[in-house]
Amino acid sequence: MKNVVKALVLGLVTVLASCAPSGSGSSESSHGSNKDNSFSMVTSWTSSGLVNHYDSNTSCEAFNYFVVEGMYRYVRSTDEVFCQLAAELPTQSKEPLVNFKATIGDDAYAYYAGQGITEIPVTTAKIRDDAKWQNGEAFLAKDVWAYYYIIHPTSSNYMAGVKVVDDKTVQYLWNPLKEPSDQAKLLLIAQDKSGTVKYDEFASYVDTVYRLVMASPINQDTNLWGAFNRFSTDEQISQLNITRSAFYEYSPSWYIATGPFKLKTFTATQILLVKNDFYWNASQIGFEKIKLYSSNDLNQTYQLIKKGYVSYYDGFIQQDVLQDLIDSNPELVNLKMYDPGSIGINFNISKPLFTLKVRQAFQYIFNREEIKNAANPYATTSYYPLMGMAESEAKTYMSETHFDALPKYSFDQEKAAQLLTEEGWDKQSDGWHANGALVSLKLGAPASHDISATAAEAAAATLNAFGIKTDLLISSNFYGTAADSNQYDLTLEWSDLNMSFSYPTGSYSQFASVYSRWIKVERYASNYPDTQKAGSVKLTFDGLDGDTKDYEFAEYLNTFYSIQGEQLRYLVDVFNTGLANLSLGIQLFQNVTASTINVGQVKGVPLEDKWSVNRNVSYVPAVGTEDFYAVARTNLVFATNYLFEFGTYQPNN
Amino acid sequence: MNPETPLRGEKAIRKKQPSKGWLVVSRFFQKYSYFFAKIGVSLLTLTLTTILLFFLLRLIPGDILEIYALKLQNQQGISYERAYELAKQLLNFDPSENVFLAFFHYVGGLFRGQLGNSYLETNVSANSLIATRLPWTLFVSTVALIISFLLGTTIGCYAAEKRKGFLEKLTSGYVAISGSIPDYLMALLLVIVFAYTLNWFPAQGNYDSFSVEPGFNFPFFGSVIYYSFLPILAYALVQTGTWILQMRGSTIGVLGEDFILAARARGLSDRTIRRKYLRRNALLPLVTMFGVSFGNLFGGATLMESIFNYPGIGLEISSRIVNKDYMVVQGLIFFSAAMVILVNLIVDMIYPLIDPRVRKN
Repeated sequence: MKNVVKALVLGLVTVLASCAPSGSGSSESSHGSNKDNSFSMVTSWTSSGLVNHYDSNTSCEAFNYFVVEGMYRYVRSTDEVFCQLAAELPTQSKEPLVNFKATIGDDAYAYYAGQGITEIPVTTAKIRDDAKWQNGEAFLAKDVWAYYYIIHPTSSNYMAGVKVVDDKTVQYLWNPLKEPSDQAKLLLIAQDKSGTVKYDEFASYVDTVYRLVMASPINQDTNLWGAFNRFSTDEQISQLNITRSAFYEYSPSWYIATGPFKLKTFTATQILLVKNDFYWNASQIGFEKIKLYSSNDLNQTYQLIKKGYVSYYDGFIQQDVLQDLIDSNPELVNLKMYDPGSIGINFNISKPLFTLKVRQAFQYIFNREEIKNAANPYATTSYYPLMGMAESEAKTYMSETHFDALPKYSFDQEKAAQLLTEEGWDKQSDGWHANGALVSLKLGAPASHDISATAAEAAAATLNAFGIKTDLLISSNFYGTAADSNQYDLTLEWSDLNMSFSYPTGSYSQFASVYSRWIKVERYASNYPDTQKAGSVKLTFDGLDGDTKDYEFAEYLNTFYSIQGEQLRYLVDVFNTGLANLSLGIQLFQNVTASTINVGQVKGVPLEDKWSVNRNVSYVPAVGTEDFYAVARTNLVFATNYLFEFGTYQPNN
Repeated sequence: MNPETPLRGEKAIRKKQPSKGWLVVSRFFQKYSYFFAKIGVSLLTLTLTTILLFFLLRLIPGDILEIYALKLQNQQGISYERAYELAKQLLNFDPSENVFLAFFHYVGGLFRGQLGNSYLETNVSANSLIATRLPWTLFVSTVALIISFLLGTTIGCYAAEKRKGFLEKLTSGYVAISGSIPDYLMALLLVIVFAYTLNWFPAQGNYDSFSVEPGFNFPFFGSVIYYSFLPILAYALVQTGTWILQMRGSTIGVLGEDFILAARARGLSDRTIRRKYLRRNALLPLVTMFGVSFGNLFGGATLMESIFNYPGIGLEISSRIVNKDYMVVQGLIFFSAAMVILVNLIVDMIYPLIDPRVRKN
């Protein structure tokens, strides 16, 4: 018996000893030499398994960066557009409507012609000659066509059709009655992952959906938005859903994609991607593999960064943690960049307490600089109220005069007290009273967002110190629901945020669909007869500079992409000024996010002159500068595969 | 009076007496009442568990459509309203469905062996997750249970015999420490020391898929053992203390029995007494506990698996609770509850065979 135990122990020790070197992972590349030419990161995915295409119900976040592509891609926060599967940036033209009768359908042609339209806006895109799927077959215009007709991305709401000109040329035909501006057209296309639907593989689903779409009646209400301006009947919608569900569930024998790396192995906790030798620029890609780790705990992620298991991490890291990481691992570099969003406090205006004057008084209560320093010291303090977009975007889209005229609020608690007193509030020994009762507020914040949670702690402390009793409720994933169901008086999270590219619609849509719900801005009923306004926020703003016209937010929300130049600038002036004057929220700071990169494993990291001096680079490049673009590209969420595609990043071996 | 002659009215009374068949059935139920009572209690527990589970999960605040819509909005750059509509369509979930109707649908599914399909992922169900995750949970926890049981009972037995020795003091100290440290804290300590500081073992995962091919090959088995070392150690370190304590108590009880005294009087060696009399008898109550502990393994250990990011059933339950994948969560919890109840039932059934006094009582 004892001999058996000894043999077992000896065997176990042998197994562990033989496994240790390959299992530890860090020994290969954490000491400045990336011997296996790998790039690794922590990400999340559907742990139960992936269906072999991007548009299924399963996903892996990092596939956006390494595995799938579109024709073009924009860099979030800079709006720079670069080519992925396209050979060059597209050309814009106006073509005779009659030439596209077959593509858009006879009924659509008759409708547009009946509206007096003779020309249709066309964007022509050329696909790279050497663009290929990861199985080596050519990527063709028919594949782009298939993507648009089965996926119906947002851009298809502005289109009348997609035409295959030849194998390598595709034309996007824009709805002549809802034509976006040229810049918006490019940005809209650049958010589409058109390299995810291989026509040959999905033909049965695509053809069925295409037939259903073309059989659907043309929409004649310019206020309604649907793919290719067609609205299906109930029976057609039912058929569409059945076909689409089958499409989502269909799993081809290989992961359908075109990107620089392809799926090799998958487990619940690790994914291995290997270099795609068929990639159009494969010779420039030095990394042989991408290692993806899952982690369900932020501290676990930090340990993986610290120990050199991962080459890259995107997102803000709290100052003390970052300093510890950088001190522990001499190869880590942290670069900062603007995030197109502001963190702030939103009022729940359904509470009678929050009159306009009270909201304005609250603007003076907070020392925004201190709150910013507590939450994210690298961010930029904002002294504005909520205005629909972050300060950097407002500067871009507003006229200088009106931007300068926006209300700004300094830290002035005496002024706050004066305004509150004027509004009937009364400070007593136990705190501020309003309408004869002690004011007691609930401030909600999401636990999942580190910066907001920390800022909320500082804001709650400020309010309590000022004499306004405030309970801080930091909630995990119930925060949004609680805010929606009126459980908070104040919320502290993003106040102005652009989730996609920086055209004004992004920020306004986010306000209209998310934050305005928490603020409890009055809305039109969802069955309101004017379809443009149904379900939307009810906000009307005065014109500026003597303009006596009223501008209703809901009327313009869906049409921003079609507006450009001075008209766009003026409308942004009107809406931002109007929102700022309403004081619906308090911008505390424009966020700054970061990329943490292991320079021992990766070559080509920008700002070397800065990080060779101090690896925690506090310099945030100004908007429009060369560094601004270079640093934004390092954030894979912002720029996906830019630095890999063009060979900027190379393994440090 | 002829004793065979029935008294007045007796005939009628005899008629009312149960038939022979009924008596047989009645005696059968009476004889096995212990077993039927146990089965009845188990079924009742399972029913109550099902009801509680279904309604409690729905009391958790939050809207799964909202979370999914925000994800879609982020992924596809579309408006929230559009994303919400798309989410409804993709998840095939109607939040306005009557909750009682939903419950009956759920129970109907259980009778068809369908524990629940995922709202969030295509072709994923509680059944498929049990098939893929349970083996990992059972592997780690069973190995840990067996190791800790063997170690604990051996040490416990020795500690009971040598109550005034150094070993007893050592084991008492160990039992006190391991008993006061929760298993997840032990796991955290092990990860910090052996994975993050010494770099001897991996901090997370179940095997190194970057360098080995899963299958019937040595590198794969080696990797599985290497990756499971810390989780098994964490479980075993904590559980061993419990087994030591139980075994020690049981052994002390047996040591005072007459048959041990008689064995000593017969001049049997200490080794023989320990092997043939002491350990076997002391192990008897622990075997039952071992069975119950085995049943508990089916639920996985949520915190432990989360710390090691070990893809077992516990990790799956915790991540799906966060994502409000209700149907899968209730399927997984139902399964683990059913397994605990079943194993307890089996133990209850077996126990009278070991100790007939239980059945009599």
